[in-house]
Amino acid sequence: MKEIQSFFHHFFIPKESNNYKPKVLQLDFLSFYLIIALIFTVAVKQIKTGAVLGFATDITTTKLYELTNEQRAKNGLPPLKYNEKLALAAQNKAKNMFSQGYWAHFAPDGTTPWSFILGSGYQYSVAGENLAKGFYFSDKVVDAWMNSPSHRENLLRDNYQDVGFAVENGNLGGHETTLVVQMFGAPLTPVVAEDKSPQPQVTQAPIVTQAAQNPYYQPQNAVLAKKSTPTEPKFNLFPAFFNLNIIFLAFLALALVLDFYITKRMNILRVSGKNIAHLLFLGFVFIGIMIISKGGIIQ
Amino acid sequence: MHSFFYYLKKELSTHAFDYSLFAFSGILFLVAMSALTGKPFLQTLALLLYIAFYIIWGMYHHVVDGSLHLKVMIEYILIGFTVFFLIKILLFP
Repeated sequence: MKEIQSFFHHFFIPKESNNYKPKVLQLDFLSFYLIIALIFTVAVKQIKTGAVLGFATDITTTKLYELTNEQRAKNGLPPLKYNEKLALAAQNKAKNMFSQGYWAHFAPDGTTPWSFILGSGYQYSVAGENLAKGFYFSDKVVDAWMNSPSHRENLLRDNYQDVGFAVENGNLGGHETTLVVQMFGAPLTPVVAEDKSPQPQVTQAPIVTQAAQNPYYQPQNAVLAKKSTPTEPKFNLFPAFFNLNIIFLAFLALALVLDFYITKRMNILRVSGKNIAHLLFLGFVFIGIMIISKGGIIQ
Repeated sequence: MHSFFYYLKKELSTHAFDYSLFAFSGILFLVAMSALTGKPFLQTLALLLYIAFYIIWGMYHHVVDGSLHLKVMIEYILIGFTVFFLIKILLFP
């Protein structure tokens, strides 16, 4: 027990054995952190160029669908049905944005979002579109939409019945990013079919859409990005690196706080950087990481 | 805990201008990161500028403090670039 305590003190507490500077803050350890960070950077690049991985995020259409209906339920609205035609429209829209290099509701050649919906075979009476770019987590996408009045209005519109999503990875404007397209709609001409849905919210609507022929939502079928994206991610790297960054910053901050407190308390004088400056720096970087984990949405 | 804040306050008040300047640069960095959302290349540039300022600030502060030493500068550089490479992975995963 005493050995463990001594070991911990050597690494975290300024004392004679570590020349009055915790081992984890000494230059050799700081160099070690830099080398590890460099190895990670190079490894990620190698993995990407080796075509093992694509651009990886933690966004899935399954999660987006669940969160969208969760928000509608919170606001007393019936859930939207997952519609494969709208999902196809969303996927075509996302691909079009990558191929033509734009991020907007209307393409540079004048193509409207509605062209994609009609092109997928979905005849709508009312339709809407939400876009998002550069997000890494599904919940952040839906949160951002809910915080924007126009997107929120789209998401909570009671005359929509169907929804489709696409999550596409690709290169836009010279850098890899993830585009999220959410297409809403209500069918123009109801197709009367036997409604097999067990959900009471679905049966309340007399209109049965294409999706209702297979009313049970199949999450694995809904992840369209997996079917068609050539740079399909096999592993989600972003959450792992995000956590790694947070853990490293917390570790370094803890060591700096301990060191600052003890050196001041023991009145230790030594040649060293200012812990408060390092802590402030890490604090701003931490908030910066939080900003990076958010993306952008378009009105 | 009380004495920790006492030491913190003492340190900040001794070098109020230096730390205010540093906090201001941090706020600018955050504004830039937020304004450049979805543009990882420009965000990386903002991060690099902030890290450069952090290192230069370190030099300036220790010159004023009369405690500039090569070891101190290396400490700022190592922390700055470790953070840079770690965040670069997040910007270009």
